[in-house]
Amino acid sequence: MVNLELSPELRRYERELREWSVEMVRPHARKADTDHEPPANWKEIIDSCPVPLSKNTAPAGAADHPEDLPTFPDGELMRGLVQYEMLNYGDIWAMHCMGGGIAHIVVRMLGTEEQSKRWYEPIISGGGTTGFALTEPQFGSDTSMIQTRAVRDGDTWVLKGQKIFCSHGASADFVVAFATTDPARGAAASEAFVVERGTPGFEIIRANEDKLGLRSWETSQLGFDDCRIPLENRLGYVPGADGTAGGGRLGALSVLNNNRPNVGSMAIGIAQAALDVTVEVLAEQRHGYRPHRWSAIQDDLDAMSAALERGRRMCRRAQWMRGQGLPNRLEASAAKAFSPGTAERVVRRCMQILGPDGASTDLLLEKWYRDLKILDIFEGTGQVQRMVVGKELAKQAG
Amino acid sequence: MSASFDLTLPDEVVAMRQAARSLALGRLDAVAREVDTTGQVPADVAGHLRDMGFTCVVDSEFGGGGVPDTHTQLIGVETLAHGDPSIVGAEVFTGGGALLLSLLGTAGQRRRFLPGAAAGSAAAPTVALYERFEPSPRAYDTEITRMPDGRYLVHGEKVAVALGGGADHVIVVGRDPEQDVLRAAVVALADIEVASAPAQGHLAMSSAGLTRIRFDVTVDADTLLHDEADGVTLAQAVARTRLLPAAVALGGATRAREYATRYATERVAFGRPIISFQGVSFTLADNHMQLDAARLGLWSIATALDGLDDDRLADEVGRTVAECHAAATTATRDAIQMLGGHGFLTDHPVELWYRCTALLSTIDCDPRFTRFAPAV
Amino acid sequence: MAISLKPSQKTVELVELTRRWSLDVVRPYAREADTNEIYPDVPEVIEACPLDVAPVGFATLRDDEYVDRAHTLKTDIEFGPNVLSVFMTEPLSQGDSWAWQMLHGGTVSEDFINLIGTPEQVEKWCTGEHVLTAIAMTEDQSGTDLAGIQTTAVRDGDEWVLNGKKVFISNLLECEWIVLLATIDPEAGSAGVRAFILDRDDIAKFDVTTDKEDKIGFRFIRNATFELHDIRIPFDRCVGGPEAPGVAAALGVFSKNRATCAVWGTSIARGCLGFTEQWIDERAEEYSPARLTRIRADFAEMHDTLDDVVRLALKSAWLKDRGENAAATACEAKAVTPKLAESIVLRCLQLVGAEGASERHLLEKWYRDIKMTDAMLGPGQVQRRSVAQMLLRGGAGR
Repeated sequence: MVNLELSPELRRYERELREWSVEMVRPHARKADTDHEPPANWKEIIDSCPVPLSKNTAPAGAADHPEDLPTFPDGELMRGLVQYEMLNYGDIWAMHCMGGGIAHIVVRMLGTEEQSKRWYEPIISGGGTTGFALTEPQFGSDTSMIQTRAVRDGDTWVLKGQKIFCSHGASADFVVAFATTDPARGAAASEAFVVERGTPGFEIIRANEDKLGLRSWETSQLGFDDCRIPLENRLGYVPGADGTAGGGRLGALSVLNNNRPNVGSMAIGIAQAALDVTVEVLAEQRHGYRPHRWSAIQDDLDAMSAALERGRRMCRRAQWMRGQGLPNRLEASAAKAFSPGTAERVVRRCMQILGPDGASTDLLLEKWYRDLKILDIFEGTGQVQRMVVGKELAKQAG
Repeated sequence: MSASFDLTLPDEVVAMRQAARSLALGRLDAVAREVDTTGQVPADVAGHLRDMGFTCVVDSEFGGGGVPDTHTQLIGVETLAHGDPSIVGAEVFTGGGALLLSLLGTAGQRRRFLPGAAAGSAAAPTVALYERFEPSPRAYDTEITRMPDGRYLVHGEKVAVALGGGADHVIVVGRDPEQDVLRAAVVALADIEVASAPAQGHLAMSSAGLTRIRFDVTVDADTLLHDEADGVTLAQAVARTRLLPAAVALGGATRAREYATRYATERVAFGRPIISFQGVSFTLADNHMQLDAARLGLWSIATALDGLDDDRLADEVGRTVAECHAAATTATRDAIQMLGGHGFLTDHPVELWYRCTALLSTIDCDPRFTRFAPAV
Repeated sequence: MAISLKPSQKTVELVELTRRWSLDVVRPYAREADTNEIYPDVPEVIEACPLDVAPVGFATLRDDEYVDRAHTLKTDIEFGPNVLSVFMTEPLSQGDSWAWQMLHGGTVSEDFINLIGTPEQVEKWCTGEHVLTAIAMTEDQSGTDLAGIQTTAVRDGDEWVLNGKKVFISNLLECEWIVLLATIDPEAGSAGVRAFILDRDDIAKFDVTTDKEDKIGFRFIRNATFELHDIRIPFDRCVGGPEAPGVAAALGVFSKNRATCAVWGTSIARGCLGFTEQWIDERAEEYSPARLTRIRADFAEMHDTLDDVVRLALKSAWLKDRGENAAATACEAKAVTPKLAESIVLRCLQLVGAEGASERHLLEKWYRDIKMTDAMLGPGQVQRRSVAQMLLRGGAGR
């Protein structure tokens, strides 16, 4: 029978997570934004969470279920959505502290057993931070335009190029950087390389980019200026077997695209927080309104609430399909196309309803409005999602 | 005013627009980031803006550039906002008192405040206009009531009062409950307590020093502005004041739209400039249309300021302003979207415009005139 | 300062007269026109119109004619013919759309001849008693794009020989003559297209495969599909002669009409609004005050949005009258109207409730009619594409 609700167990998990997030995460939101970094005691805060969280020890919503996480009848993917929404309901800074990046996971995905032992397992067992370097100034969505070069020179690879938006790039123990061995072939000739901190020629151009929002997330601009690394740092390297893995390593990243509904949930979490704060403030101010304005506001609050619920359903449906092993490209993109854009409108509308105070630093709405914008851009922009939806529809038609 | 439909700009307006554009793109643009960070407008920029005579309007009798007609001022302000809507928006808010005094000040008030404002030696009074709950001036909760001793009690709360210009006086606009008319009184800031001092930080317009102020103060009768002078009523002057931030929003958003269009012609993805994708070009086309329609609406209401009764006027202004803000917030958010991740970085100015138009949209928002709608 | 967006008092009066004509004289025949799928045979309705030329035809009047016309209409020569055309189109269809096409200059066929025809052609076809005319442009493979026209005209001595197929042609069987677009040089694309005049005798030789397409709205206009097999017409029937620059001028006619066509849509929507407002007013006591306030706020908003579009159309007309490039603004107005008008008529239907959708009222007819305005003169996508292209050319800022 069709059921769009979460199980009682997962609802309880959700509630505990939400309460903790509001109590422990949100109070640090303003400072994290101002300081451009998470609170110094972030680890302590995260560890105080009363329910277990997945911490990037596996690709988000991985098929193999992490052992230390509770199981729910709804499945791990659904639990993942709840975690994404509820952490961001507190504030977006906490997400960046869930484990130290994703590059080690990429090592496990693209690397050999040997490489996994060297760069993945130590991070899982002993902690550490890993950086991910893919985007370049000239491309975002279209990976075929990759320009960072990797040239084989005897027993080394020489990397040359520039990367932007590298999560944890500046503070990581190592970064996984993507480069092409043949610019004419672009992504088809792409390979992934582990570059350890301190390697000569590996430069941190900007440790943390100046951004509209999401300021507590370290995103770095990195440069590779004839940066020489050993042959075995190419993911997929097999001793003795010379050359490359045959390129196309970027394509193998597509598994990370499964994150789209999760980004949708992040947006919903932030917008729901803004809406709830707004309702709280309004509860004390309702008497100030003339009836005809109050009823217009009430209508808007209802419409916003309904829109967020709609976004939630879209994200859940996409993840449910994936859990069932059904192709969900269309649904995942639709969820991503809908949620961040709608969330942005919700927060903007909330600020308008609250007047200039709503856009002041006395409240967090203005921060959330700035944070949200990126969610409609990374992991595929709203435009790209619509292209995907269009293409999928065309496939269905023909 | 021309007797019939005509959008011709007189030569002198075309010339002044050219000058405003030069200042906008030649100077305001260059200092926008700095002002956003420091909250201080460099003295030379403030001087240039004052000389332009659109943000702080001073009667020529007192050494100002004279009071331009509403259209000219709207066009001037919008054009300047091309450079940076935050700087220009802040100047419009801090300079608002000079316009009201030039139009409706008593001889004494004008002598006292306008020469300094024109010369830049003293800040013009700022204006306490907007309220938290009541966007229509005719129904403001703030009251200015005559007391038995002939003095007036000013009572109520105002938001978005710009103290960033260093004003020591504020013109409070409120309702006279007995006469059922609009009143405006000049109040010394020293006499009142500022509710949210120090000034709150906001999403943008850092140089405006927007503040919430509660008034409960008694003032002399000679602090009141005229209800009407030279055929201009206080309600019309207030309506005009409310249109200016909308023009600022349109200016900033139009610049954002232009910037995004240029970027889209240069940025290549999937083998061609992204402008060739309908998702990009249609969005920009829609932004342009919405902005264009909103601008014509603004000009249209500016023509009609003296032809409507006060209730109608307040509503029509609210509606027009709401439409401008809807167009402006959409166009700036889409502009960031067109730049993708780059739009999120402070390397490009689009994020400044995005923040500013959102802030402006919160200041004069009647919930009846725009609705929330989801993105899809 | 000279900016004004209002007409003079005299024009206001003429607008009001026209509106009353449309409401009081035209509307009573609206249902009949829809049911019988043909213009009602009531010449007195057309005679009663305060305008003796359809506004859409104003722009092609010569200066002296325009002065005469304005004099007859007792309006000021306060603005150019295009602006007057927009002002006068706005009241024209508020009662219903069926009648105004019967006015002199109501179809673009006369425009073609007035604009690019020889003096002899203008004399022969466009003066004297008014007759209904038609234009045949659309083909299976060619809608908005003239370059797709495949009907050919081949010169043979003193005659043209026409072959091809036209679809969805309005008024074919009712008109006295028709302007038909065909190419004299299939290799030349749109530059090869010319307009030809065919009279009733020629039309009688067409192979009409459908005399009346079933369509959703504007049913009073009959649309025919026909084939031409070696139709011979005299050489002087080529509008402006074979050397005349065919396509540019032809397209110009359409760009002029875009602004007017946009206002046609707002006119229908305005009529609907007026009807619904009255319907609600008559039942005001049945509504709670809060709901009534909400509904009236809705009305105000809808009127306001329509005003926006009219202003865009006026701007385009004004630019056109000054000989400036008006194409972008014309497309703007045209691009937004159909969707907007449709949503307004739909809202009216909802406000009146189930009864509103019944044939007891005209709302359901107007909802069907309005759907047709989108497809006429280029659907929304084409218009938006044009706006985008013009933005690009018109100088993007830094």
